[in-house]
Amino acid sequence: MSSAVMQFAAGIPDPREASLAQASAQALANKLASHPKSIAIRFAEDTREEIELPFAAARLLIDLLNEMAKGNAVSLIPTHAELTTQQAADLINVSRGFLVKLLDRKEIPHRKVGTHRRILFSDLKAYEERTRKARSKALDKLTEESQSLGMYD
Amino acid sequence: MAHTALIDANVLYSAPVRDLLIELAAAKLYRARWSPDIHLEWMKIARENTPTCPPKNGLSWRS
Repeated sequence: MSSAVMQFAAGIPDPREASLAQASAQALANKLASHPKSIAIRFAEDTREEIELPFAAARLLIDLLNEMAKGNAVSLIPTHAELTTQQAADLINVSRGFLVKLLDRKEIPHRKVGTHRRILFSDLKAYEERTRKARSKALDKLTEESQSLGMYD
Repeated sequence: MAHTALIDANVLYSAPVRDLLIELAAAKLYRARWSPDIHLEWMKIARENTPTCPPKNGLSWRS
């Protein structure tokens, strides 16, 4: 991704990192449940110094650790980030051509910077959620119809 | 980037296999694609092989 998208990417965790992530996510979640305001972390080498994290950041950290525990690579994209058509297409698993069609049909808002189109990450996510719901509804209907027609027998 | 797979009519025709493959695609494990022609084909066969299937049911192609 280009520098237009501020991105914090961690590579695919190795097994040791994954199991460490699982343990620390669990410990952090337990702590957060009993101290639901903010959380202070201490470093192993220097037990005197504490760093306090906002609650929301600690929650996010747990999500990140949980993904790492599953062996997933994680990257954070701020919701206000502006994406190129290629980046947006990659994020929702479609071709760039198809994404441009969605922009032309105004299914996803965009703005133009010179001749280039830019898409807000939050708008892209909203579209993805909309289609996810529609797809899930259609699949439920399809399963129901197939069942009543005996297509699973 | 996930792999893209073209799903042919015989795969869509089998309800259990279709369910599995579509759910895997929905989980973004790969990109499932099929054409309007493939979609019409499996529905045509489904209608022919299922006596109780109404001539035109809700399984219509959405562009």
